[in-house]
Amino acid sequence: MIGQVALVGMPNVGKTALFNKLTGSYQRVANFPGVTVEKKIGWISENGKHSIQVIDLPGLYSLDATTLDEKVTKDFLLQKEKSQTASLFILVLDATNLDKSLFMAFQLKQLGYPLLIALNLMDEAEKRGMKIDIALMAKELNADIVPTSAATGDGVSNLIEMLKKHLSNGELPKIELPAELQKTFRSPNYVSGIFNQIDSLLAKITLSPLRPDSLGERIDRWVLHPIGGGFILLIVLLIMFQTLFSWSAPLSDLIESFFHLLGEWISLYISQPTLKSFFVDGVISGVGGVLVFLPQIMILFLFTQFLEDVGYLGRAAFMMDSLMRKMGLPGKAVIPLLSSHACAIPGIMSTRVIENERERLITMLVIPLTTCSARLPVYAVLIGALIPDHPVFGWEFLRLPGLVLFGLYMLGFVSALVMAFIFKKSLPQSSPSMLLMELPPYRIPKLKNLFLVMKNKGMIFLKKAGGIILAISIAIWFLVTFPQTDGKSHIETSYAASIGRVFTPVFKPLGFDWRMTTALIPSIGAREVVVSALSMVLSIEEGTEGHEKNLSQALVHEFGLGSLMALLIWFVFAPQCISTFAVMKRETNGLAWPTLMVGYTLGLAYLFAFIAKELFSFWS
Amino acid sequence: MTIDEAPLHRKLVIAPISDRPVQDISDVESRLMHLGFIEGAKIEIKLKAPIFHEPFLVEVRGRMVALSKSEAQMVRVEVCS
Repeated sequence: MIGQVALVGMPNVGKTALFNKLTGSYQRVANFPGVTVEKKIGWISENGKHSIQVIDLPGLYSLDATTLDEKVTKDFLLQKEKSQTASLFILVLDATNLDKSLFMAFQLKQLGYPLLIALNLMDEAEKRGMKIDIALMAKELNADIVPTSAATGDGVSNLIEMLKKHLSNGELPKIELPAELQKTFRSPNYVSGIFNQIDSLLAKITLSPLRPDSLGERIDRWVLHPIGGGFILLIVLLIMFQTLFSWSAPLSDLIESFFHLLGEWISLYISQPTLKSFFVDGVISGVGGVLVFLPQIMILFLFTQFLEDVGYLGRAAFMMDSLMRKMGLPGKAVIPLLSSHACAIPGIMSTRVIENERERLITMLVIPLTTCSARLPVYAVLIGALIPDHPVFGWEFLRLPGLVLFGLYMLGFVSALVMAFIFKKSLPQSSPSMLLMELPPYRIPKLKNLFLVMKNKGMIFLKKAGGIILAISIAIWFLVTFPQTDGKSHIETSYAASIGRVFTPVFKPLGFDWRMTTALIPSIGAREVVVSALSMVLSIEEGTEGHEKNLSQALVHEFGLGSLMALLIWFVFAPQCISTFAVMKRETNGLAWPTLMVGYTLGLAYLFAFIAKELFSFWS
Repeated sequence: MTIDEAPLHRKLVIAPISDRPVQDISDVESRLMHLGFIEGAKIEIKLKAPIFHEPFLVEVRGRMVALSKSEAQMVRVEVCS
């Protein structure tokens, strides 16, 4: 490796697109140490060798850093830690918005950085009639300037040549930021001073000014229209919801049937029953259980990244902000919250659209309360057992089971909002919560960027969460399979049942007996498994005709109304699925937040299940 | 008056900011300054969202900035004569 360069610049200057162009697909995504800010690392590759490492730093408006993202970039610029810095910084400017992006140029120049500027989006600026004297601009700023276009790739090879030349000049000098200067970054006089410098520089170098983006203004008249814009937003969210459910379902089914077939194929070659069960029910179904999340994750990120790149996400946030903020969440939280109704895993991963760390955490914490699709099979069996199929108010089209299902959805969603409000009041404030943002320009998204994001998100999930999910599913297989009697597994005598019996006194107030607590153990892997686990403990053949009906009848007969109501309510709140925990651990960079999530949802589940049990035991 | 009280679609100018020590300037006020909300800057309120009468969309230095009500209350303006 010859050296390490980092890209800095304001948000929305096309920095990431340039990063993708420089590094191709040689990149990976990590977190900055100790924080949840994403760090993209890539390599410039020549003759098949990774020669120069490139880091895409989070965008910043000014060295007077106010947000966590900005602080990370500032520490990087100021060489706070030896391992977390670069030997060269490339400042990325947006040629269509020089007025904004030049701010950082003057600040870095003042601190004495050797300036290498990538004048990005140059093709778009030229199309809009802008001509500037780049040589004069370079002289005035005492900088090397390379015009680039991340969209077409123009100028990227020039930029690589130029950065090699800079790297050969040796190490970056130690940059000092005196405390006095740091203070002035926030003073109105200092800020106006830089804006004046920008104005006089632009007056000097502009040969022909930029025409305003009239198309963008026309689109905004529709998109931000009080009624029309709301309608557009509703349609966009509806499409997101629909694709997440209907596009990903066939793909997930395909993955499931593939692993099912693989299991059957492998079982032909293994005769020893325990070993067969280990491979088929433990390993293969575990790997399948990890991969089955991929379609939803990739489709959701394709969708949100498309909205982000096209410039719509900021506008959606603008439209939703006042409504969402009444409930303690920012406008952008609408995407993770809605998508969590399909599955919490992509939902939690998509909270990255929320810039403010605290608001991101709050959204992640409440996501497990929304009704994900894995709860539906559980609800179906329990509602079938508990709720008579009667019309409501004598209306044939509105039936009691449907009304109860709707009520369960509402219970989940309303408790998510209430908890968001409670967390907002109780969690410490780390950085200011603000809407304040510049609406990004409309741009045509690059397919390559979209696919890179999909690939990166898929890889992160597999690498950082897949291992934990697989390990737990194998552990659960072990618990329900051993110890064996006569070479066969019986759930009633398994370790899972022993653990279930140990916990029975704890769950007695909810009316759960040892069979119910035992069935809850495999459902830690995935909620829907509780249905087959209940069949097993009640010794009901699965896959036979009328299985669900038999199960429903047996449930009522064995457990009674109060306990089953408690179980239903338990599934509204309880932190069943281990994948949620694993993904949250990766996204928050630690165990503290997922532990809080498990703790409070367990508390709520216990409390409300208890209330349900008491109410319904009293009635029946 | 502040931005949330000012009329839509009129040229406004940001009023002189009273002298205060730098440490009293909040993070949000700092971000406002860096987006171009500084004394003497000309701005125009383009849009006010309908339901809760916020947020606001303001044009400043040729760019569109979204502000919530509490952010809009931090900027004092006068109507250009």
